[in-house]
Order: sequence, then structure tokens, then C-alpha cells
Amino acid sequence: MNCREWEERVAGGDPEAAEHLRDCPSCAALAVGLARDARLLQTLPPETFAIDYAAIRTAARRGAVQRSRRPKVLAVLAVAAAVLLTVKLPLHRQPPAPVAKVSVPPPAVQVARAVPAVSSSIPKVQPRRRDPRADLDRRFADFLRTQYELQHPAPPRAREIATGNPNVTILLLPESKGDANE
Amino acid sequence: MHPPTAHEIPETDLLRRAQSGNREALEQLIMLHQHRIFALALRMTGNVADAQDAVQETLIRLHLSIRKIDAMRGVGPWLGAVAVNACHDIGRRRQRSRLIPISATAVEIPDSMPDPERRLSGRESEECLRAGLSTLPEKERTALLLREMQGFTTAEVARALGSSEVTVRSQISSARLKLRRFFQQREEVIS
Repeated sequence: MNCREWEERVAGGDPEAAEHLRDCPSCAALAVGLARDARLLQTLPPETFAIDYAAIRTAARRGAVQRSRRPKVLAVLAVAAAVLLTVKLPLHRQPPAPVAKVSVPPPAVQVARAVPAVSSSIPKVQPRRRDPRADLDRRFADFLRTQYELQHPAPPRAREIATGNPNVTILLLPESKGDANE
Repeated sequence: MHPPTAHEIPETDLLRRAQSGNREALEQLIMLHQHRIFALALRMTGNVADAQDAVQETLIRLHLSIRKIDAMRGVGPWLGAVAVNACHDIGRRRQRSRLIPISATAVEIPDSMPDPERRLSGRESEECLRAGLSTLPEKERTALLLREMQGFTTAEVARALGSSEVTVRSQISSARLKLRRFFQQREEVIS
């Protein structure tokens, strides 16, 4: 181990370095210098200052008041957010969409067509603002539809039965009183 | 019989009294630590005005958090860690480069050191020390000051700085060597 490596151990206070210090005057001088620096660091500087206890107490009191206010403000904000959510949520809640009864046409072979490239110059469509009255009308209509569906439950859906052939599926359809398309 | 002074009352008792709302006990606690905290802040920031602000901030935090201090650990380590944070806050708030390494030539260093004894005391040696400290990287300077001035253990320094003990040991060792080289260069220039 060379002196450069010993220096780091001496500076780190490694007790194993003591033996090396006895044999190496350069590292011994370093150890003496480090001890002197440590003493200098422990010596308090000549500058002093007077503490203004009253100012500290006042500032602490102000800080305490601010700290005690913070949770209250947070609580008020939390309550306000909760109230807003409670009031707002039902406005956005949609009733369950009615199940459309559509007869499934036989699968048609679709020819893939190239989608025309959309020009980037087309401006983005801005979402239309909702009319509050229209919203109310729609909600009322939804409410009536929901009530009607509750009183006249929809017939059970078709059941699918798989067969051994993956291309053949048996559909059990319920009887319909009216139109075939109903 | 005279009432016991701050030095005669054990610090743990003072802390307990201060925690129960005794203002005198709190002020006595501050008196016990104020010079060391000021010295730490002065050597951290490099100037008296910022050091005073840091001490003020530290003592306000002491007022506010006195009940949270662990009596077993004592006030010293708590104050040291808070003072370091206050110094960093002031440095950030003022957006100055006091806490980052600055050129030693920018710090006023006394040219003459007549005798070795004088190196260890007085304003000149303090200014020289601050010049040396200002050449250290911030983390190394903080670790060294907490260790040498506040008497923190390596584990306490690591906890205060949110670092590992291995890193702190390396930082302290590096800081000691750099400071020693700075002083050696100064001595060579003078001689």
C-alpha cells in the first residue's frame, strides 16, 4: 500500500494506520495537520450574535397559527370537493342503455377498402356545449324509459349452445309475439 | 441559595420542562446551543447575515417542534440537522451560490500568519477556515461540519443527510484531506 492510499485511511480515522504512522514521517505529518484542522473546526468563531427571543416567539406563534389553519383549510376543501362530487355525479350518470333487439343479418363478405388519407389541415372538432334544458329533457326521457323497462322486463336473451363443429352454433331464441324484427 | 443555571441543570431535564411549556427552560436550552448552531450556520453559509437567518429559522422550528424531540437523542443532533436544512433553504431561497463551491480566491484570506499559535485562534484563522470550507463540495462540507463541530456519529450524519454511512465516511475523509491540502498550500505560499 502506498502513501496515497494510507492518506485516505489516516483521514478516515482507521486505527490500522497507526502502525504506518510510526514508520512514515510524511503520513505522520498529515495526521498532525488533520488533528490541528479538527481542533480548528471545533473552535467557535469569534463572531457572536444576540438572539431576539421575543421575535422568535412571535414568529413561532405566527407559524403555529399558520400550521393550525392548514388542516382546517384542507378539511374545508375536502368537504367542498365531496359536496361537489355528490351534486355533480348524478348529472353525468347515464341510465343503463336499453337493449336493442336487432335481428342479425347473415354475415356479408366485406371488401377491405383503403381509407382515404385525412388531411392534417382539417381543424379539430370542438366539442359542442350541452344545452342544460336538452339535458334535462333527455334525462326525463331516460327516466321514463327506465320506468317502462322495469314494468315490462325484456324477454330473456338468446342462448348459445356450442356443438362439436366450431362453425355450427345452436341459438335458442324465445318466442316473439309481434314482428320478427322486434 | 442561588437558582441553578443552565449549565447546572441536565439537558434532558431542561428539555422535559421546555416540552411541558416552560419558557425559561426553552431559553436556557437555546443558550446552551446557540453559539454552536451559529458557528455551524456561519461555516455552512459563509456569511454572518445568512447564518443569523438560519439560526433564527432553526430556533423558530425548535419552538414549534419542541414536543417532537426525542429526549434520549438530545437537542444537539436535532438542532444540527435542522440548522443544516435551514442553511440549504436559505441558499435556495436567495438563489445565491454561497452553498456551492466557490473559488477560494473570491474569499478574503489573510496574508500574514505570524506564528503557529495564532493560526488556531482569532478572526484570521476563522476566515482562512471558511475559505477552505468554501472550496469543498456542499455535501462534503456539511458532513465534515456535522461530524467535527456538532460531534455527530457517522450514523447520525448519515441520518441527517439521508445518505449511507459508507458514503458519509468517504465524504468526511475526502473533506478532511482537501481541507488539509488547502491549508498546506496556504502555508507554502506564506513561507
